[in-house]
Order: sequence, then structure tokens, then C-alpha cells
Amino acid sequence: MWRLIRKNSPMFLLYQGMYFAFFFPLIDYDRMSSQNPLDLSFLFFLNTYMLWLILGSVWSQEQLENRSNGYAFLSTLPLRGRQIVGAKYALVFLVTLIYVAVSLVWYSLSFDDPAFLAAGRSSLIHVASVCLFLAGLYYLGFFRFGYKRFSRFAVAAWFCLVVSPLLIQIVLKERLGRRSGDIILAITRLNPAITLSVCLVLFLGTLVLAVRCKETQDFSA
Amino acid sequence: MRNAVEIVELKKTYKKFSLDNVSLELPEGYILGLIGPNGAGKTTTLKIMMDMIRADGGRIRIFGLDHRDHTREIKHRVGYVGEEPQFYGDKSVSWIGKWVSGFYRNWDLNLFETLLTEFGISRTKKAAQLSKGMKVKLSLTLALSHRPELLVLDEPTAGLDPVVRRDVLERLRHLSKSQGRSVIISSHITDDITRIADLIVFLIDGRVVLADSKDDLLARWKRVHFQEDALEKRIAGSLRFRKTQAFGSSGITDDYPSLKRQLAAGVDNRTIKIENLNLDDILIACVKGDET
Repeated sequence: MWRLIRKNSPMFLLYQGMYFAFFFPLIDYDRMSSQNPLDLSFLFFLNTYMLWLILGSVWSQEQLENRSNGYAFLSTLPLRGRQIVGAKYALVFLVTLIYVAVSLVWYSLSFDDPAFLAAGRSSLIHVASVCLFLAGLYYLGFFRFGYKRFSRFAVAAWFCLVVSPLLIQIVLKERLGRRSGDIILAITRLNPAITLSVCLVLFLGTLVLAVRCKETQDFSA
Repeated sequence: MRNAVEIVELKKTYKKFSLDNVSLELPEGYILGLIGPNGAGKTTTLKIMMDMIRADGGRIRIFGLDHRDHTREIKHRVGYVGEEPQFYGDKSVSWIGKWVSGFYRNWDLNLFETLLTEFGISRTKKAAQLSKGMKVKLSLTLALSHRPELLVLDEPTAGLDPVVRRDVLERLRHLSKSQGRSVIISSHITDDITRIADLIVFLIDGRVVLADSKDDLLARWKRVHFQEDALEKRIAGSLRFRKTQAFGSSGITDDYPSLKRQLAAGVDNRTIKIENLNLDDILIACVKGDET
């Protein structure tokens, strides 16, 4: 499975590398130069970029796989369907873990206020959990309906998930700013362990279903 | 003698095509040529063997193992070349070789390197930059490098120039005759099959219409040219695809050995002429019937 993970990882690492290389330093620079403290809604909004990162990587990877007829090639190798699907899910899990770990380190170095730090951590775990579930759903969709049929939906959903919070943040900030802050604060007060557990179960559920879909996949003549 | 491949009553139904109770056997160490026109079901049969397509019914045993229950074990022992070889186009040939090698327990790196050199495949080229012929060669290289006991080749010579084609066919014959490997090769280029196959299966419209050893097939199928009244009516009536022309009549028999003695006198006095058929003629006779 490690070989499959290695093959799939460049796209994920590219997205993640770009993110870490540009986003965090820019935010730090802006924070230090403008002396503007980060507010929680901005931090939450920042975390939603994990969706952009992970789901975008999933979609790009499947696009590559489709372009190279990769699944047909893999089907000629001594591999089981569960290994092929499992490698995809394992990589998503690893990348999400790396994102969370790096973000936690960045939070610890950047935020002094313990309450803000705790809320930031909580929001990060909530978003990461949902992200895992959505990535699982994406893979399930790709394996169930095939790249060509599912990619339109995947792109539309990705656009809504990523762009909507941005539009809300920018266009309606004045009107929804306080209310969205309240909503985010309420979310961060939920127990992240519960969200994580539920989303992990759902993530594994989509994995099982995706394996079933993969094992009945035909590469027709 | 053990069978490398045993297919029993294989079924697969699509909207416009169905594989109808296909059965065939390939003893170990033999080369089986699967012949049929485009759309006959050759690729579907081979892909079902490789577990790339699910059958609707029937049974396949490879090395005595059920192909669905032991897919992974079977693929360790089988080399497959598809009709349109696909690789990760953005990866180099050497990357693909190194990556694929990790999945096989019997990978022979020296053989891989040797075959790349012999086929003239650049190690640094990206797979997407390879011509169709080069892709087929790379696919063959990958299929041979884990020293498979069985080779499943779907139209492997399509897109190859005549020199390389001959070379590939000779290599396959050598693998079978001197190393005891089994080969199942599909093609609509019957010359290729004639050159190397021991056994022939004709697949037409999803059905096996003929299955025999090549030598027996060529010995049984003959075209008989005869002048009217030179042939007993009973024998003339038994010929298939009869044609009458200005210079005489002709027809095809698929049982020449049993007619040989009865035709001998006519052959001697030149009122009857026996013409050998090649696999192409037999295929066309099977596909088009009276039009031949």
C-alpha cells in the first residue's frame, strides 16, 4: 500500500506545500505589521481552507488517475481493490493529520491568549473531522459513479464549500460578522472529540462502501 | 497434462453484445490463439480472465485456482498486455519499471533492463511521449519482467512494425517451447497466430465456433475445386459455402481426412483440386458463410 500512497502523494504535497509556504507566513506578516489581532471567525474561515486543500487534492488526483487510465493499469497488477481504495483514504487521513499538526504548532507559536488558542484548536479539529468525512464522500462518489459523472458535482460542491465562506466573509462581513462569530464560537464549544468520532465512523463507512464499489468496477472492452 | 487456463461456460451480457457460454482450455506450455473479428468478445474474455470485468456466469480456473478467489496470486503468475497499454503518462519509463517492480515477488531487474535495451525503449522518456508501438513494447517488457508462467496478450502486435512484430512473436514462441510458459494471445491478424499458436479458438459474436489444434484445423479445412460430375453428389452436397463458376465449382470441407480417399482418383486425374486454407480463410468462412 505504501507504493500506492507514494504514487498518489505528489498532488497532495503540492497543494499542502503551497498552503504552508504562502498562507501562514503571509498571515503572520499581516498580523505583525498591522498589529491586528486575529479574530475567531477569521481563524475558522482560515481552517475552511483545509477543505480547499484536501478536497482539491482529491479531485486533482482523480483527474490525473482518469487521464492516465490509472485504475485500468492498477487492475492488471497483483493488487486488491481494497488496497487501491485504502491507499487513497490513508493518504487523505495522513495529509489531514499533517495539516492539523502543523496548524497546532503554528497556533501555539502565534497565539498567546489560552482561551483563543483552545477555541482555535477546537475549530481546527471540527473542520478537520468534517473534511475527512467529505473527502471520504468524494472518493465514494468517484468510485461509485466514475470520474466523468462525479467530477461535475465534485467541482460544484468544492466551489460552494470553499467560496461561500469567503463570499460571506468579504461581502457580508458587516451584516453577518457578529452573528457568524457567535455561530463559530458555539461550534468551538462543542466537544471536538464527538465530532471527530462521528466523522471518523462516517469516513470509515464511506471507505467500506468505496471498496465495495471498486471491487465491482468493470474496465469494459 | 495440467491446464494453465480452463474457462467453462463464460457469460457476460451487455446491451448490444453478449458472451455466450464461452469455454476453452489451454494446457500448460502451449500457445492458444484467440481469433475473431472486431467485437467478437476476445478482449472481454481476456479482461474477465484478468478480473478487470465481472462475468455474469461461468467459471474460470487459472493454474487450478478460481480467478475471483485468487486474483492476487494469479496476477503474480500472469503477465498481461492490454489492447491499448496505459501507464501513468507523466512518469518516466524507469520510474514505472521501478514502481511496478515492487508489486511482484519475482521481478527480474536484469531482464527488465535487457528488454528495455533490446526493444530500444528510452528509460528517461515519459510514458506519454512514447509512440503506440513503444507503449506496446513497454507493456510487454513489464509483462515479461516478473517471469510469468502465463502470458495473456490482447492484440499485442497491433501497432508494431513488421521487424519488431516478428521478434516479439519469436520471443513468445521461445518462451513457450523452451521455458514451458503458456500463452494466450488474441488477434485478428491471423498470420501472427499461424506463426506461433498450437491451439486455435475462433470466437465470433461472443460464441466459440471452432476450437482445435492449429495443425488439425489446417488439415481438416480445405477448399475443394471440382468439375461438375467429377464429384459424387453426396460429397458435393456435404461441402459448405459452395460456389459455381464458369470453370467449375468449389466448396469448403471441414473434414478433409475422411474425404481424402474418395477424392484421390479425381485429384489424380486433375478433375479435382485441393487447396489449403489458411486461418484467415477459415475465419472468413465462419464469419461470412456463403459469401466466401
